[in-house]
Amino acid sequence: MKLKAQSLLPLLANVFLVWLIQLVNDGLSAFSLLLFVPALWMVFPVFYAHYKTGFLISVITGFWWDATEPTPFGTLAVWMGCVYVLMIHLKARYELKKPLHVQLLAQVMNVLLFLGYVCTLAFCTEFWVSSWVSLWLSWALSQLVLIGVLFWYVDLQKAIFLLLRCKPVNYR
Amino acid sequence: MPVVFKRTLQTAFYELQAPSWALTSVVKDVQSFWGLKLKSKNDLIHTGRDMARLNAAYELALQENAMLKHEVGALEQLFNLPPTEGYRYEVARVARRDINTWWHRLTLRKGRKHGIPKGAGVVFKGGVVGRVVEVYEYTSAVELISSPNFRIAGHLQNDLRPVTYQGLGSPVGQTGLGRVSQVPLDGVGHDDKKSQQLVTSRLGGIFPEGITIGYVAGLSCGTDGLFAQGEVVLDRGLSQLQEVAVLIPIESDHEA
Repeated sequence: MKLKAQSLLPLLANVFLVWLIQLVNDGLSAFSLLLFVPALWMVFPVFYAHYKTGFLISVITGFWWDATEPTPFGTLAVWMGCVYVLMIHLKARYELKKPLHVQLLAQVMNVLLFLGYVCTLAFCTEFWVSSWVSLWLSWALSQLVLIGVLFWYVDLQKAIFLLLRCKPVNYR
Repeated sequence: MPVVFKRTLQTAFYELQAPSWALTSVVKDVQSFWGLKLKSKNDLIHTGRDMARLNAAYELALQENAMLKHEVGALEQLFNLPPTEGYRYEVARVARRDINTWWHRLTLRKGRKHGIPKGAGVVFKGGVVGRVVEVYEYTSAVELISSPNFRIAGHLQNDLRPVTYQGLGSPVGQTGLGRVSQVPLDGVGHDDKKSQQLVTSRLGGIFPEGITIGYVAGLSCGTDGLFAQGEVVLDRGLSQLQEVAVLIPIESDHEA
């Protein structure tokens, strides 16, 4: 598995988005809320990249996020890798290509990743949920933000590819 | 994954991201600087006058402080007591806040290069902020006092018997909460123990005596029937901190 030069573009876009989300989370700290949208980082790798490079992009982005959080390193990366494999399988089996399919799959991915993250943290004694209201509000907010931002982010990545006159393997 | 590889990868990814937070924080500082530049000269004159009054009050407090220190030194010598631990204050700007249902953390714009040690206490004008849990080259992570993992020894302001404080998180949009436990039962139900200030104790080793932790909202008899416990309301400014001071023990400072 080798990362091609053009594969770095979605990875860099993901790094930029992680920084933006951290900025938003800094602002949401006053309300004890967390914006958690890892599905955003996986949509482009799932739908528009080669499955091997897409897998690498997803896992590296997961590690990038994990590095700044107090959770065991690799928690999100492992979940992103698992969900990526599942989504690739679903996409191939049901030929999911339409924008509605993309949005639906992104919502499902985010729910799975959120639940996976919550369940993993539940096993770590030092991370117990201090407020269930905060947890469910964070989840609802994340799903809403995903609806609003998903196509903007995918289009941004496509625009970067067009600007640099290169294309990912499965680019449509 | 081997532990060494995991640790190296985590540190590398963290250090790669750290400059972006520092840059964002610097941009915010510049923004607030230019915002202040737009204020009128009259505002500046009024602020200067208020500052002069405050300075005069602090000058008096400093003189009193020096006299008290001298007295403490004399008593330590008289009773052959070990000297009280001293601290140096390292002021640091907050680069990032990460407060949610699981953890409450801050990232400071100072780290190993500035002599920040792991485990040091962090304070602000409202009292205790938390404890340094991770130190990197130019940044450090602080676990907030409201974090469920934070626990220290303290005592009520007018009662020197030690009690235990633990963070409880913060409900959505509200101020942080904590829990005080192992409070001697003799004071439960008395008005003097309600809304009383909970302060740090030297027993914990990382904070000097008497820094505010929070205010006890009420005490009730614990499940064991031996001690009382209650909720502690923390300072509202904890989730909007811009600048904090790290307490660096002078001994470890000399060692460094």
